[in-house]
Amino acid sequence: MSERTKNSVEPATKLHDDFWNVPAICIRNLYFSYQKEPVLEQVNLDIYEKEFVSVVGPNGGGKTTLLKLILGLLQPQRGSILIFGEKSEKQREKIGYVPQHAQLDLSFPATVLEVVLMGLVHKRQWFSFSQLARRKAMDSLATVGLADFSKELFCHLSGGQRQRVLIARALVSQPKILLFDEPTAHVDTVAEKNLMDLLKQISRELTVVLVSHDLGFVSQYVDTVVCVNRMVQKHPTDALTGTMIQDLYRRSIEMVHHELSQPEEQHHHE
Amino acid sequence: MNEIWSAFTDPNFYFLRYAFFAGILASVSFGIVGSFVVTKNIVSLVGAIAHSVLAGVGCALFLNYRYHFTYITPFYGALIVSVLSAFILSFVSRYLTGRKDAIIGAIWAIGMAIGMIFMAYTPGYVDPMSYLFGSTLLITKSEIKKLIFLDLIIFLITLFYYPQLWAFCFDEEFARVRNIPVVFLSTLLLVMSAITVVMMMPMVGIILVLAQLSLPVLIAEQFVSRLSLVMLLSTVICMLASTTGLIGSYKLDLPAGPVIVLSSMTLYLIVAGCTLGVRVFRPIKRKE
Repeated sequence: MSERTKNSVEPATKLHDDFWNVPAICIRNLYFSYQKEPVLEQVNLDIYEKEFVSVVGPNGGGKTTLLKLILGLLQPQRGSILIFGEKSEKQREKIGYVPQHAQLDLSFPATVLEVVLMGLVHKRQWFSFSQLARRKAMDSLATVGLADFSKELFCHLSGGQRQRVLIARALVSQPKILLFDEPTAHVDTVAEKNLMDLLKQISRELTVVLVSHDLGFVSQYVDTVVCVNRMVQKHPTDALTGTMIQDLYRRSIEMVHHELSQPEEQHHHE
Repeated sequence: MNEIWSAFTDPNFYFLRYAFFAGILASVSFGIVGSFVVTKNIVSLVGAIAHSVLAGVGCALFLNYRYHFTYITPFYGALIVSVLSAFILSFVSRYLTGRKDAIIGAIWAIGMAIGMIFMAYTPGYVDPMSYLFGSTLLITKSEIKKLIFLDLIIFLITLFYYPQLWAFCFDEEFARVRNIPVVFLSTLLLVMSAITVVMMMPMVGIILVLAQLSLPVLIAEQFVSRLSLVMLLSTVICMLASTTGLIGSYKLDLPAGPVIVLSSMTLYLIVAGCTLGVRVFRPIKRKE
């Protein structure tokens, strides 16, 4: 997005913020369990508009559960989740969701454009898609840099490209919030960097929440880190310290520094 | 060829004509529903529906011969029970956690058991083989009319719900996020498959129906890569297979159902062999 377009929308948003100051996602006293053991408890979390947030935590800590609760795919036993001040079922139109592409059935016969069009399907979608919908899908593909691939088969793309197609599918309905589940899983380091640059660019206009296990890498990009391990804590990225991470994972982890912009030979692990 | 044509036009071989038209008509539903079922990976669910249909057939025969409820023909019995078991399986597959596979398998067998018990209670001898493996002699003129009607229903439903069914089959979770009624759609899909299974019952029987549902789609998927085209092509392939199967069964004096299924299989093997050969000699290029 160019600077000019960003400036042109700013006054209106500012006004909105001053008047209402409603967080994009507001979670209060949330409690959730699949069986007896609570997966999440006493969760209080505010994510504001245009914030770029990473949700990190150990496996089984409740990251994906938190994401599904925000999406309204799961119902909390106690507590509330408000999206722009309303229940998430009513505000689903404002949420774009990017699942892990590894979970999809790749043998499904669909072209890239068709996958993106699925992002526009709604419950009153009959018969077919309009020309407008197709144009929107093409625009969305252009945003992620895959406009030339619209007629390719989804299963013929590489892992990183597939992830981009899914981002385009989430963007096509023009959501206010984008939720990602492990966007950089199963993607090599170069594709990972490209993907994060794309997300950074998107996050100038939208609230972006991404679940990630790779805190060291992601913290270079995001504004805030939400640590989820049954309890939830929110930190600005610059306030992150080694002890915090140690607390979170209950063991010291080596911060792996990726010099991604450099060629391969300079890539080093400390 | 002349011999077959003369048999086809011979008034005494009316059942051959009926079987031909039934095969052509049922293929439309098979192509459409089969594409959804195969891409959504619910062939085993549809298998359970197909086999439990025998309960409906048995019950209808029993009521017919015992209490002379002549308006309940095996066709209607099968239709009612198949739709019922579609609802049960939709519920089971959605709300029961764990061991769904085993429960589906159990429903599969229970339906057949109930059917056989009803048949045992039916006075006189009832041959379950014609329902299990199909019998072209079961096809009558009224059967053809019903097929046209059911084809129309399935075609219109698919046309109407196509984008939603399509999104649902590709990514159910995302469909839920988009507020698409996934519970309704999965039930709709199973009911549509139930109707389709009953349509083809006289031709290939309820056991062989699975092959005819999935093989044409598997063949079509080798050639085209869009769901709508897969539907179209698998319909044509299904028509081709049932026609060649019918001719083969007439020539070789064999039951039509198994010959139809084997002709589908032969087609599949030829196509799969060719595509395998093409892939070995010219690997797929991936755009970078």
